[in-house]
This record gives sequence, structure tokens and C-alpha cells, in this order.
Amino acid sequence: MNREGILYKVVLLGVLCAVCGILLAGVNAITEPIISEAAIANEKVNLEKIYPGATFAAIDFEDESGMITGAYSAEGKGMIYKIHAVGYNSDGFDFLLAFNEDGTVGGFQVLEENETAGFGKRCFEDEYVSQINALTSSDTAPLLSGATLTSTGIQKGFDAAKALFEAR
Amino acid sequence: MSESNTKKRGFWSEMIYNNPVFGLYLGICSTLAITTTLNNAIGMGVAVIVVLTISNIVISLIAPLTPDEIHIPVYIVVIATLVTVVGMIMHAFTPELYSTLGTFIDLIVVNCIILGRAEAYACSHNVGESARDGLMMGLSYTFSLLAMSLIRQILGSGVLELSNPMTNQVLFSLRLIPAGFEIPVFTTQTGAFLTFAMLAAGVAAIKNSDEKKAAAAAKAKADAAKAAAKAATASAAKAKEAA
Repeated sequence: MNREGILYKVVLLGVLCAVCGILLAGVNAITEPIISEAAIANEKVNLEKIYPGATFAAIDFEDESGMITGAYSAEGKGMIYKIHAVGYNSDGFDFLLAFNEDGTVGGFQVLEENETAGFGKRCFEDEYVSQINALTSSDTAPLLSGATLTSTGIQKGFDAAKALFEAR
Repeated sequence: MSESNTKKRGFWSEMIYNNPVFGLYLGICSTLAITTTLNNAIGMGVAVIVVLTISNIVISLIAPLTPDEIHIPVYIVVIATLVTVVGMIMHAFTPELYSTLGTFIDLIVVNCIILGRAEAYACSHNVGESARDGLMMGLSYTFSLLAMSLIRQILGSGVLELSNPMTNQVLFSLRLIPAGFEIPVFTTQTGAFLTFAMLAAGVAAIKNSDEKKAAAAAKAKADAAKAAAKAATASAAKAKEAA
């Protein structure tokens, strides 16, 4: 084949790209499970509180709200979303919200919060949490009088997680 | 860069004379950005050594097959593939380091040193020489990162610390400057430029001093040769006179 001809150049670049693609696919096949495992390693303790003994996997997602910071599937049980919302404290708070396969809420677990005791903190007490746990993916999280900012944050996070769950 | 100089000088001289960062001013962007800690410097240095050495080897192998018109795309495909592979491996096995270095791992693709050595050296030399050049350039770049990070970490935080990039466990931590006497500006980009300027000036001073010495030695040699020629002429004239 003429080295100066266009065909030679096209074939050379094509072969090179194919070899590089195969190499990348091979390396990806080896590293992807390890990366995925590492992504949930830090969260696994918290995820286990919602679905004990389940097999978890980190899921890629596109979130328009910017509140979802992680999405995990629990094999055969449902989906768990990690959410960062802002209440009265401008640093915000983090919580996990799970939806069972049938669309009911599978669990609500606060991870980190610094809301005001007696006001925003009431959103993480049994009374409000039991209301969240009784919802489904077609509902909206209730607002709590006296903790409007914190419960609004939870409501927005709930809606963002609901949208991702419905869009699976 | 002078290849003859490379052959004449030893390892440490090569680290200084052919240093891509302080001698040739290549790869400065990542050097300024990531040299806040010793860990970053070692991680980035190892990544660049691996990419540079393997890319030099591959490029020296495929250069005879590559027409001039497409050599840049070919080199870029090779380098980008290697950088992606190194990025995937770091993401899997050193996740903390990978997240700290962030986008600078991917930016190794456009690091001038890699493409520069492919163009200037690997495409016209055999595999062994290209591998050696890649290794030496990578080590030289790592040496620059270590020098920058040592100065910035010690002056900026007062502590010399190294941790295991795989487990993030601290291997050693030594406070060299008492708390409250650190100079935090060295952890910022201003500190990076200051450190870079000092080290580049140091390398330039060493180079200038050696060049002056070499010029003085050459002049002395020329003077001696001139004096010897003069003496020979004088003695020839004397002999002629005596005859």
C-alpha cells in the first residue's frame, strides 16, 4: 500500500484506534468493578441500615435539581438516594431516602445535620420520620410547622429522588 | 536540548540541566497546581513516568510506519489512551490520590513534556534510547515536583507528611516548623509561583556558573596553545639565527 496515499493513512489511524479501544475496554473491565465497589464502600454502613444484607451497586445518574449526591441500587429490594438539602443552617444536611421496588418509601436515614434543636431537628425525630416512611413515590413529603425551612429541604430532596426513581 | 550534553553528564546533572520544568519550562501548569503535598507530587510523578516511558516506546516503534501528515493525531491517540489507562488504574487502586489530583491526571494528555519528547526524540530514535529518554524525563519531572512540594508543604503547613496512596494511612508526619510560624501563602498559587521562581533561578545560576567555568577553561586552553605556538616560533627563529 502506498504510504503517502489517503487509504494507508485511514487504515493506520483506524487500526490504531481499534487497538486503543480494545486496550481501554480490557482495562475498564478490570477496574470498573473495583471503582464501583470503592464508590459504595464509604456509604455501605448507612445503606445497610435501610436494606440489611442487600447487595448494593452505585448507579450513574443525571440530576437536574443538584440535590442528589449519590444513587445506589439494592438488588431485588429498591433504590437508595443520597440527598443534600439546605434548611435553616446554610451548611445544609444529608440524608438517605429509599424507594422499594413497588414505589413505597423503604427508609429515611439522616446522615449529617446541624439544625436547631426543638425546631429543624424535629424533622429527624420519629414522628416526622414515620410520616415520610408511610409515603409512596407518587406523594409529596409533608411540611412541618415550626420547621418549615428544614422540612421544605426534605420535601425538595424527596421530589428530586422521586423524579430519578420514576425515570429509571 | 543538547543530546550530547545528556550523554556527557551524570544522573544528577541531567536532573538539573535537562530538567523539563526548571530548565525547559515545560509542564509548568500541573507543577504549580498540584505541588501542595508530597503525596500529590509522588502520585503525579509516577503517572507521568509511566505515560512518558510507554508512549516513547510505542511511538518509537510506530514512527517508521507513520506518514508525516498524520503523526500528531497518531501520537495523541497513543498518549490519550495511556493517560486514560493510568487514570482508570489510579481511580481503582488509589481513589484518594485520584480525587485529589482530579482533572490534572486527564490533563497529562496535553502536558508539553509528553508530546514534546515524542516529537523531539522518540520518533527518531530506537526503542531502547526512547525508553531511557522517557524514564529520565519522567524522573526529572518528578524531581521537580518533589522539590516544589517539599518546600511548599514544609513552609506552608510546617509539617512534612507522607501517606499511603492506597489506604490513605499516614506513613510519617514530622513537624519541622512550630505551629503558628508557618507561612500559609506557600500553600496557595502565589506560593507556587514564588517557589517556582526561586528554583528556576537556582537552576539558571548553576547553568550560568558552569558555562562561565567552561568558557574560562576554553580561553585558558586557547591562551596556552597561543603561548606554546609563540614559544615555538621564537625558538625556531633562535635556531635559525644560530645557524
